[in-house]
Amino acid sequence: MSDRQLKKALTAYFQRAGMPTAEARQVDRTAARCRAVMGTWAAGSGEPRQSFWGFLADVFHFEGIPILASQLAVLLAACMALLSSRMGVYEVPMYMPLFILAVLPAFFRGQVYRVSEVEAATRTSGALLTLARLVLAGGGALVCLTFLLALEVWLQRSCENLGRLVIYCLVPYLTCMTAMLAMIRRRKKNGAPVCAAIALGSVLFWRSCSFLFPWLYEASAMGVWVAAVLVYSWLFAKELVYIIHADKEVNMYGIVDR
Amino acid sequence: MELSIDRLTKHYGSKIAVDCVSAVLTPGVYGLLGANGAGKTTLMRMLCAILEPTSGEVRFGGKEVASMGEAYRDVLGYLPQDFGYYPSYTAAEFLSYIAALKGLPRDMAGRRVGQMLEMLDLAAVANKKIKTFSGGMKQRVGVAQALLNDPQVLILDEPTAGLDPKERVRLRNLLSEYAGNKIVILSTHIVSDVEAIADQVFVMNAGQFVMHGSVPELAEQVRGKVWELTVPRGQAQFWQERVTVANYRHEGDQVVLRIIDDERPSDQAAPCEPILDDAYLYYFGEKEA
Repeated sequence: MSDRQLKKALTAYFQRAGMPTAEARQVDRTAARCRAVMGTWAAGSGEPRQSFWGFLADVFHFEGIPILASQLAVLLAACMALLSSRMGVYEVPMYMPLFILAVLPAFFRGQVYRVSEVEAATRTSGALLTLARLVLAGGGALVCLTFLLALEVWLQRSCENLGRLVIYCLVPYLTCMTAMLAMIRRRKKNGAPVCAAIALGSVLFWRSCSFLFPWLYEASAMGVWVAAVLVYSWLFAKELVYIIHADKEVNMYGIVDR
Repeated sequence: MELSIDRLTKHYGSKIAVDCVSAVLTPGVYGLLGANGAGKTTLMRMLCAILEPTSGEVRFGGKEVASMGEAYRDVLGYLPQDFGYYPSYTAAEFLSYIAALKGLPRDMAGRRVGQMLEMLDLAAVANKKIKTFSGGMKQRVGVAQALLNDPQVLILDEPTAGLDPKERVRLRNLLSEYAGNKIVILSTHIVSDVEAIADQVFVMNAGQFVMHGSVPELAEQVRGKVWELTVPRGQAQFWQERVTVANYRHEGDQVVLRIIDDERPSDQAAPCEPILDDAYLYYFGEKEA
């Protein structure tokens, strides 16, 4: 009789005799271990929960490093491009959409990898998670923008155009950011590719602007830029207010697409 | 503790996914059984408050879950049917990430993650990327994330999908043990899973609860309608075309058919003890089931 046949015969005998088999004993041991583990836990609703700042630190731990690393990569590429080609003040704005492109994976990864449904069922609302990512991405972009402007000022050896430059940079950045937030709010399945297309399209648009509409970069056209900043700031603020309201009003529904 | 569903309805345009279902759930294991497209996933999403109902409401402890916010999410554990994960994360990292979203303080989250990994037999692969896992291991990670906050309401959509028989038994035992004083709802189209652990079974079809009761109660409904008939092999096709055949077993040159029919299909047919599978097939027929 082979070992296998012997094992089978013994198992059958134990079963007939009502004795626990090795598998049944293993199941009992697992059940006992589960009981022991569960017994050490307090009732769910009575457990302590993380504060907002603790939550932000957790989000930074999991998402901050990829967000900042990708923005840093864009900053390096932009600095190298600025140092090698001198297009003047026209050049800096066209890099701004790339900072949005760099953070798209962080904002849309839940949707891409189908984790958003699990995330939606946690105590963190989708709105709060978006806000936390926004804080990280916005902070990173601010640092990068400051560095880029400082580099441009150093290259020009003058602070004369600094104010104009800030405005030139804000318009494409706010346009792409607002578009991204609108896509997140609409929760369309093609949100990520649409945002990527908008960001890349913006780079091309701002690049060609300097050739097609050179008058845009003359001092006399500042009114157009200021108006654009105001319009996009208003649209951006609207999206932001929507997210804050969605979080405050515990807007739990509409997280999944279907 | 009570989870009540009151005339819950969901329309997608002109399609009715869930049609005015009502139930009151107290601690125990509830099986939601139905064919694909019966409305199980839509119902589960509404129970988790991640999908807005067209009408009706879900209440937990007398309060509407939509207005409970974090308080409801704190007591909720959910495993979706299409469980996704971040490929760059290890099992431990993914569980820590979900623990952070569930608001567990970091030290508690660390302990919990370790316990869950051990409980679901994933401790040895805790630092391996989830993308390298088998389907069953991924599913166990899914169950682990649902249990992280020790939920009072545990909702599992097709939890045994992709598991081998041994893992299915293990998961069923874990859920039975866990259920104690909690509400566990699991949806599946595998009748044997529900049969093994559910205290109560809801059978869904076309967005409605068409049957409800304990497993013996549901099986009892088809007593006297389940028959066993031994016929020569050549006749098997004949019977399959005429009646609902639940099972088909070879015995030498003959086949033993388990037939579900209102009347004794033949003088040679012997009545048998009904099981949940038979009730399901009786009401839905072979095609729908």
